[in-house]
Amino acid sequence: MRRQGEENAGLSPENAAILKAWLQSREAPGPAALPAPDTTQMVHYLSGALSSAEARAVERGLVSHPLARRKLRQVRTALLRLQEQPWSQVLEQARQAGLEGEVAKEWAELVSRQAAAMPQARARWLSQGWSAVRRQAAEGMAEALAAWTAFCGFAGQWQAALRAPRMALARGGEAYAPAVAGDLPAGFQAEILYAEITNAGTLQVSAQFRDAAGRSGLALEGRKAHLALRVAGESWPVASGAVTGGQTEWSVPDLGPLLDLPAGQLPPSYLEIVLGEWVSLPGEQRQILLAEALDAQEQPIAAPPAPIGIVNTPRWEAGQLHIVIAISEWTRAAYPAYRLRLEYLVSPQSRQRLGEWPVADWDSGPRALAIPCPGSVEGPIPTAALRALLQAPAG
Amino acid sequence: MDEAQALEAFTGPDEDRARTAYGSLCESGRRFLRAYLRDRLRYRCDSQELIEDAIQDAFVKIWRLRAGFADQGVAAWYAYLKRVADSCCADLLRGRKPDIPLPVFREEEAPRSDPDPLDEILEALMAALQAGQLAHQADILWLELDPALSEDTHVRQLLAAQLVYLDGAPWQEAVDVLGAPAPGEDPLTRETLDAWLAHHGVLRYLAYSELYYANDRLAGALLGWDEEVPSGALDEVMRQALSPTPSEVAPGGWAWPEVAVILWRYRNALLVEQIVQRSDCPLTRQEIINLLVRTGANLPFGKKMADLLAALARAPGVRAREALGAPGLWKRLAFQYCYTDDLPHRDIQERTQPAAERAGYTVTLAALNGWLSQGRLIRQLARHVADILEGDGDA
Repeated sequence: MRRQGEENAGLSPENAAILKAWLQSREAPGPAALPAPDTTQMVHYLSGALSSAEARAVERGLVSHPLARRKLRQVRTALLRLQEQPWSQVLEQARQAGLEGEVAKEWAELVSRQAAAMPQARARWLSQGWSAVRRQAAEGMAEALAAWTAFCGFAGQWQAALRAPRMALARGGEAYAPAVAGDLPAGFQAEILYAEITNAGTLQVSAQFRDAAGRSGLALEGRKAHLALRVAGESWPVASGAVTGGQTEWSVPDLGPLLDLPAGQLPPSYLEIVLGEWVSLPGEQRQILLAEALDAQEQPIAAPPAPIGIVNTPRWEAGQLHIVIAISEWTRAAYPAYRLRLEYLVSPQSRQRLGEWPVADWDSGPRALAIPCPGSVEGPIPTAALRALLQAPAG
Repeated sequence: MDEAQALEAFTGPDEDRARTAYGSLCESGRRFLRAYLRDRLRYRCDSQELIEDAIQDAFVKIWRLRAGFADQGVAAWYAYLKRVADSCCADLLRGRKPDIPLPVFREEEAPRSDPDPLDEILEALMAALQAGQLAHQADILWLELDPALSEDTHVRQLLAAQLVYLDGAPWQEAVDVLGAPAPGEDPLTRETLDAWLAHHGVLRYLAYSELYYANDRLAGALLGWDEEVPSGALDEVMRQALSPTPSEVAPGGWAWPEVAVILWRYRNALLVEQIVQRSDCPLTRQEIINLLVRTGANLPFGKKMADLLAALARAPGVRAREALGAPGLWKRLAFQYCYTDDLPHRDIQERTQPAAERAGYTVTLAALNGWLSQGRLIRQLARHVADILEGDGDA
């Protein structure tokens, strides 16, 4: 339609009048202003618990309503304060009047509802996979959001593991090679040819299969091959492919920005290849939480994360989280005056503090803790939904 | 049935289908003619009654002339509607005594290139409207938003700019608030936020959202409301203003008769003469003029721009006057005021020039005439939209 010399051309007044009336008769061209979001929507928005469409609607409401933006900032302040309180205090606050009480009530309901879906988070991830869970969570499905949250929690630990002392995590010969599971025939081996985050943020991995004689694994042709991220014995699959010409390649878009990973090579020991059908072992749980150390101002300090041992399978029971924790001699020696803080992940962006204990309370043995926690769920909780921190003493 | 189908059926041999098509054409045609005649008869005091009579006569005439009507497309249909309505209007006026002469279009006023491509323009605008994209494309064209980004991202950019520049939120808070994307979306980083906040298109979008006052918003602001007032609330205020015994104190420190005039002038965009002619107008002509001098001094536009420039001046490295002094911002505002709020040029100038001059730009009546009466803006937008659609088609 573009023609040279048309840039400043006008129309005849008749046609300009026709177009003006036509546009006005179509109630064009202004988008309808959306209403200001209410407190419930603000709490869910700030917690990252809305679907994409709902979040965008909240943002459209906010740009049209300055008072709502002011309220959003007050809600955020209240929410941050609540997230730092033990759960019992959150519930107490929820009984109070005023904006803070309203925010506490919404937050308590949100966390409790999310907690109800958390025990099934890993099962959903394994049955649906990365893409489906991601899409369903973006559509606002609570179960998918719990699964996505647990995966992001696991991914945070995986990322921390890349910075952790290898000695603390490695078991036997797994330090420098990918873990391989599933029905790999006897004598066959898998070798990672490359594993990297590309400049576009995509995780790209290529593996080659060979038999005992070093020949290309053509016998595996067409077999399913899954790629998982792995840390401290726990794996979460992120891609599936098939063996072709003795090799398999996997590609996971956006993993780099999601995990805040720069472009570059990844160590194969943090990956797992599963040949055939993915089988989840019952009770398969990571037994380590990598705890980031924070200074007195709650800023991360330049030190590798410290491993915190989890001796049991953490469980919700009668409104309490039952967890048995061991702190290694190395960690106790490195952080003697620090406090161990446990948090529950509500969404990839928000968490609730569960409790805090002096590291000095631990000796060489584990301690059993019973902590008031959200919801009325009974059952095991994925380790991926928990986060540990080591907090420096104030002053 | 859409208009093209209706026109085909209207001229076809099947009488029943032609009647159905006629009903459909009447529905959209009435809206078109109301907008057209409202503009054409803007300076008449009895325009409302005249418009309805002219529309009624026009559709009777169109049905009677059906046998001689040839379907030449949607654009030709609207040109025909306009001609018939003009003729009916003239007939009606011959039987009445016009108090103000009808404005007459003069062909020589409009610089023309080739015959107006009304079909192409309508087609492009219709496609954009159907896609719900017209306002967004107007933003991209004149505010120069990044065309590679979605409308949702542009709204997020605006929200970020509002939080930081208008509400004084630190960058970290803006990242936290906007950094809770739904699963599947990349988190907002400091670098991205900085790029958004420095983008001249985003600064113009911010200025546009601050400076654009739809009629209800402006009336509300003059009556002392900070936020956009629901339309129903303004209706209630008008009822009170016209009541002989209003039950409440008039808002904004005005007297109730003044409130009525403010609403007529700024909410309904009536001119002084039209207000004076109302039988329920409680003020004299001179009182109205004196009142409008006071309201003119209270219009928010100059102060809004001063506040915005002051806020942007606090941000290091932001070249606010360069961004806001660009013609695009003022074209976008003029386009909106003309095609959505149906304001005459003098009112558009009243709502733009006080802010424009602070940014180093001048909005003259001559410029508004070229942009609006001669259809330059609408032609630019149609060309832009057509280019986008062609691009999408190519892709």
